[in-house]
Amino acid sequence: MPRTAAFYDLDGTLLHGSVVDHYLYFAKTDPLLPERVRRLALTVLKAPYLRYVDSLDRRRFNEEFYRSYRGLSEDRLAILGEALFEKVLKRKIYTGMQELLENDRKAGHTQVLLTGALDFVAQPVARHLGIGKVVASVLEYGPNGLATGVLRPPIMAGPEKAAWMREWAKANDIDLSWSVAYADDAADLPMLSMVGRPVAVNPDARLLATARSHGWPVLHIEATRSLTREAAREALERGKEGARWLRDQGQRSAPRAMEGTLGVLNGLTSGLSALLRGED
Amino acid sequence: MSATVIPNRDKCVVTLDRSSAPRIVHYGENFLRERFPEGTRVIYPPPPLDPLPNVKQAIRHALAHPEGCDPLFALVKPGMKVTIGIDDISLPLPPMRTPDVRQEILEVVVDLLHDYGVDDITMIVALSLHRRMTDGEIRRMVGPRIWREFAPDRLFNHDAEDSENMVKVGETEVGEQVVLNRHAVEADLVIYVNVNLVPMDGGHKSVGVGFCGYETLQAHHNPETLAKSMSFMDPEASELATRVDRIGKIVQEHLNVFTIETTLNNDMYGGQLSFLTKNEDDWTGTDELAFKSLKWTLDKLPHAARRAFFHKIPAEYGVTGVVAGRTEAVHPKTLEACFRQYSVPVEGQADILVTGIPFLCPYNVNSIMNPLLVHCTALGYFFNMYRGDPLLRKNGVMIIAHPLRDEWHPDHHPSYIEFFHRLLPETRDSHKLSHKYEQKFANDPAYVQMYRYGNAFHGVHPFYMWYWGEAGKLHCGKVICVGATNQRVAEILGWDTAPSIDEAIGMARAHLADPDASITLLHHPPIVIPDVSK
Repeated sequence: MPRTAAFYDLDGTLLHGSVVDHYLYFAKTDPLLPERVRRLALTVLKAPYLRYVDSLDRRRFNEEFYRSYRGLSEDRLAILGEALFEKVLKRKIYTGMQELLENDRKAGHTQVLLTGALDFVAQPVARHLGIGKVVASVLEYGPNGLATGVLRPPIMAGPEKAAWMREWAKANDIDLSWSVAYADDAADLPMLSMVGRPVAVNPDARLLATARSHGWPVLHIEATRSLTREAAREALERGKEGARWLRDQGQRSAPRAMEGTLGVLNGLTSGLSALLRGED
Repeated sequence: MSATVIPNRDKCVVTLDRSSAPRIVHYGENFLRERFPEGTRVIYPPPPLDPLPNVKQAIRHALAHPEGCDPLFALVKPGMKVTIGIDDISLPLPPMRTPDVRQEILEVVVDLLHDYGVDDITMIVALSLHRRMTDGEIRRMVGPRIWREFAPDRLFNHDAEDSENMVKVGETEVGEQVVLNRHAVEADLVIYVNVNLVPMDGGHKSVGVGFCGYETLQAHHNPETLAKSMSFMDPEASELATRVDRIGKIVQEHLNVFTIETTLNNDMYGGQLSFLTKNEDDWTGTDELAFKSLKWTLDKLPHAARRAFFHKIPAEYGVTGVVAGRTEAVHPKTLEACFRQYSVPVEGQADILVTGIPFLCPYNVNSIMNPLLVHCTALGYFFNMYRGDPLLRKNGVMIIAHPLRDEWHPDHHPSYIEFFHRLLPETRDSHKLSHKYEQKFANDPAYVQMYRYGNAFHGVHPFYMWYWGEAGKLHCGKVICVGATNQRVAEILGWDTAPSIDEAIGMARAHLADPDASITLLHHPPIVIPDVSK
């Protein structure tokens, strides 16, 4: 009897965020301040253009965007990939997806992380989630060990993912008609269309429309929203504490009232920072 | 305490003659008005029984004078742990006007528990593998007071896929696994709040099904059991009821259950729509005008707006009985009250059974009546609306009326779509579907996720909808759908189609090779259960 597989996109599907977040982490941890500023500024300046390109073609976006990695060393990226996971990505994993991954394992699917993210970013996530196979984008490095900013083919985006799935399934006796794929973005429609049981996870508008018209299951995983909610609740509580202090202590004298106002502001500020931490 | 007025049933069975008026037939979110051949027998629902004048008083009386056990106040003691199970939104149909009878029961019960020092109370909507009710739906059902006091931490939906909170209670003598919600199993007392719309509800089904999961449901929600249940509405002749009772005995051995069952009258279409329940020959000018206005409006509205219109009209149901106590002592009295409302004596079977399919069944409250639910309603519920012999003779023809659109609620019925468009074109054989695909759907992680955290029916539920029609499917020689707008949907279901009832009757008589084949129109809803004798 042929085996089945479960294919997962990474960003937006297993965890909250995008490949841009990964690069920003590498850029802001650059030891040289001018280089750090240059990389961050360039990313900000190029953002509208990259967004436009992404709306046209995910593969072209990947090619354009990964040029930003030019000059970063292979060793450093490998180490920072682990740090990125520990410090940022680990808590961005949707808790609901972990349960789903476990159930996919129980259902007997061979699990494959199939992502346009870079290999050193995807590997730690897959290891943490127990996904056995990772297929990700790979940067090319020059003889000096520095990234050239060019991706090694195949570039894992759009139709390339579908082509890889077809070949891999054939080679491994996988029945795609009873296999499952999870993705969040319309750019992954070719990947979803390859399997008999596609699932849209927190889909963008285009993917949602497609999923609805084809009757595909749509999952709304709420982990990120609950993080935000928790942070908002914390902000509210701190604000309330300050307000209570103001009411109890600051009603009689102006200096005390001023102190109380500062207490409220302080509470709101720390609450806001908690909110931002939750969002990250 | 039960109502005592039994209405006259003489007018419930009418034989049409040449001068009879056309009859109203439900057609999804609309109606057909069709003339039937002379000699057609029309069976109308009995008029509503008188409701109890004071429901809360009746509830208090039932709690103080229970069947088969001490009064509720004598069963509770300070500090005990109580779990209250509540029937979900699949009952009654349509949802009743507020206050829902469940709200009234809960308010009385909670006051009593508090008075006797019981504060460890958990309320669970016992939905088995149905979709989770939304907060708004639960709030409407239990009322604002109960909602404010208990939700969300002590009032929530049952989750049959929460393996940590499902506990094996035991197994029946034939090895059926009884796995139930931990809150019910570990409670000192389980109080179950039931609404008994039809005779297949309530009894051991309340706890034994409402709090269970897939493992336990497999014992009776299968093609073999449902094929042998002739009919579901006659517990004594239902294999489904037999198996549920077997599980109920295990529940009874291990859990301390106090059941509160209620029955409703037939006042489904009150006020402006009451003409829908009348014999068309008795319509007044006002009835005629009301129907024409309604039909004109419905014809002008898009079907989504029609659906929204019907789903917004609550039923005017009145409570006819409240019985409390031990399940096996309570349920016969409930059944008696049920049949007192619904049963109509009918002599002889029909060669051709005609029935309209309305906009609603237990599984599409605030949702879409999709083709699989039409199948379940037609060959499951409506075919089974009888006691004694089936209303339709073996190999007779069933004619239904429904637009049969290829339309689904993606968040409520996601696995139905795959079942219908992927599995049914391969086979309509329930045993093959069960053997080959049931486990796959039941354990599908995406469907499990949508059941647990969204508002989806469980992945296995479409199989049950298909099995539900098993007895009807095996019994009917042919099914013809009148007014189907999507031919492919009818083909997938294995049904023929006809543009009008007149043509459908012609097709049926040709199929039966009998130009005088007898016709019976089951003029419902509201509910009617013919007691058929040959």
